[in-house]
Amino acid sequence: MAAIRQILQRKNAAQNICRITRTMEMISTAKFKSYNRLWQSVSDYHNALARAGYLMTTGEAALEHPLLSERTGQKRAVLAVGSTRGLCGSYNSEVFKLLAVHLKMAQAEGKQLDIYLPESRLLNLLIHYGVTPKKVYTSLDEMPTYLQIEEIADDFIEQYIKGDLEQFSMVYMHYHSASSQQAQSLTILPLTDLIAELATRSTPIWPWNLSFDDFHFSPPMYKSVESLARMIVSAWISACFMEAALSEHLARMVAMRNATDNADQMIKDLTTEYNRARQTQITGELLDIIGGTGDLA
Amino acid sequence: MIGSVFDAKFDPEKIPSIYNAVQIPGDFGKGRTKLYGEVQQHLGGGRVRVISLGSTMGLKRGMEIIDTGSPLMVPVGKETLGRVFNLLGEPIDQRGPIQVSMTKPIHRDPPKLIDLSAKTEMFETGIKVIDLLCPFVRGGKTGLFGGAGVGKTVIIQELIARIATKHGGYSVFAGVGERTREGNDLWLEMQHTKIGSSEDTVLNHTCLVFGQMNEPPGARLRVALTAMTMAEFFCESGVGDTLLFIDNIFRFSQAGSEVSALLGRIPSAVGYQPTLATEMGQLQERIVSTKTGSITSVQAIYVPADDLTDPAPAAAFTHLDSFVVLNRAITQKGIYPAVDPLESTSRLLDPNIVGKEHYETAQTVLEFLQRYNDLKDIIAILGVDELSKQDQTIVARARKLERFFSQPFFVSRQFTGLEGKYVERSATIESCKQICEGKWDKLPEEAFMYVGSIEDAEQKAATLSKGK
Repeated sequence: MAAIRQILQRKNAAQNICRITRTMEMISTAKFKSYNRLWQSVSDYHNALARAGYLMTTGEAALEHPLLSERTGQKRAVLAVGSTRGLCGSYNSEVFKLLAVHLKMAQAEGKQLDIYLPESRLLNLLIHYGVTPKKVYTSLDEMPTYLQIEEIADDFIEQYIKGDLEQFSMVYMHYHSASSQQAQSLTILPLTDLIAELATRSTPIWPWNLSFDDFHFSPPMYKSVESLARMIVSAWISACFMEAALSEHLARMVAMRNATDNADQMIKDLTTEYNRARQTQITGELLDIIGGTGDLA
Repeated sequence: MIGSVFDAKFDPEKIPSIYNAVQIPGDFGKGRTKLYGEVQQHLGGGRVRVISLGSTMGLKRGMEIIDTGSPLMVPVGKETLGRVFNLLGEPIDQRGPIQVSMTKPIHRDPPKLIDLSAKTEMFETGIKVIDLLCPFVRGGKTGLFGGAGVGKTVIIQELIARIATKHGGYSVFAGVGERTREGNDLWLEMQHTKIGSSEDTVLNHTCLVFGQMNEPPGARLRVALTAMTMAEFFCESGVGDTLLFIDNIFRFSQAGSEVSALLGRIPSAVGYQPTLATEMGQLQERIVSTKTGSITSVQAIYVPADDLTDPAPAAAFTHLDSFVVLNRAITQKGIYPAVDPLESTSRLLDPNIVGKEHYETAQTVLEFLQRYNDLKDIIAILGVDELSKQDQTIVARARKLERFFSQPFFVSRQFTGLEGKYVERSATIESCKQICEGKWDKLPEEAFMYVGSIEDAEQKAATLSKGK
């Protein structure tokens, strides 16, 4: 009976897939846990930097620095972070949807939008929709090293200072909590926009009751503004990468858990179907034998 | 006597021939004064084995038996139109006895090879999925395969409503071993429905023959032949195309299997009679188009346990020109008619007959649906997001096509509340082509459910979005 063999084949296939998805779920769980620990430990540092930046931009005597002032370039740059591997549900398509919004906005406002992205699954989507990225970073891991981040940050800062760029932002999967992640864009440059965006988020405790003038800086702020600004930029680029990686593993964990459950259900259904088909075959054969002997007797 | 088979003794010199009808006069209750039987075997010594064509209730040993000298004769001709018969050719619609000039035996040889006509022409039904993927052949045979409760009878009735009402010739409907209620519904329905714009009712152009599931196997075994004989006469008398609807040919095989063991035959595979293929062949070979006229037949075929490889449906398969396979999985999605596009096919689906555009569209549609079918397991486990973008588009379009193949029926209006839709073949082809090309990717899937052509889907999408 061909049908029975087919059922068995499908069942075996489902079992193999199930084994893989279960393993992938475990790997993602482990990776998610380790990244989560890392994220918690560095988020204090990122928040502290953000607070310093807040004080810096809200001083009575405004600091003059190219990174803090608005530019009127014709170009915008977006660094989009997708997943390095597949099998993580709708992760990439959500990031892409947001990216598409940026593209449309830029088009409507008559600006040029350069897309930068690390080599990822997102690239396939871009190619499918006929969007050519400006640059693909091929050597980046899902968690780039400090030096790599530094390099990326310097590149954008330079372009910004030169006046080519009007705005630079990150598009990534924001990790809000273990139960909620969503695609989000974060404007990094001009820095004032970044600080404004961060200040309207609830997570860090903002120094509302303090002001820039309550502090005594040594060396004086106008001297350290450049390095502080650079630190903030690279810190938040790195934070975005980290959140993206965190969300990716969580998304994969959830996707793989669902896949394993689905596969289990399918195996169960196919087993029932197989048993029923086998039993029908046995009954048929028995009837044939009994009928045959009964008639011959 | 065992069940519906009994032995009878004649004078060894004057035994009735095989397939001759025999008559037993007597009181069989409920006003029945005669019992008919059909000779199946000669046992030697003047004894014959007979299948009873009616209930054997009241039959006693030692009763008198008379050879009628011929096979069962049934009335044929225009007088039979508008009437309802049982297998003996007796009217059962209580409209009085029937006066006919001619009767014909129910057993006869199929037409000779040289008399057959070899025309191949498409028969439009206005049902999208059927016209596109398994077009009917004018003067050909179509089988509607389906398990229990997937809508075979509804489709047969719909086809009667669609074809018979537009059809110029006569129709014959054979109810073989199905629900008596359905026969009654059909009869009442036909009295009201008018043909085209004329005042003539469909019933006046149709004759109905019933041997439903309450009848003994002998009756169910022969009722198809009775209907066949009536249809054959219309065909031979040259009144044009004749339509023959049979619901359900499987019951014919089933009845044969019920009496087979009683006749002393050894059961064959799955307990069917060893003569399954012969019996089916004898019936099916008579449903042909000759030079004088054609018989277009639509037969419902029950598929036991949804298994198409079962010997009974398999035996019918080889005789057909067009197969419409109904699938339970599709009814479970709420898509009616539940035609399985990948299993259904037709001899007509050939670029030389239906035309290049039709053929190519049908093939593209099948490719989309086949790919979707292949991907189904992956989608079930991993979800649509894991497919490549190209496959996602294919899946989206295939799902739309799948839904687009649902169609509101004229006969099911009282259940669905939707007016029946007749879609011309050209509109069907154009719509499907555009879906495959991606012209309608923007419409939501629901918009494709129960619409006529693609323009209806567009309108439905507009009302859907307004509703939101």
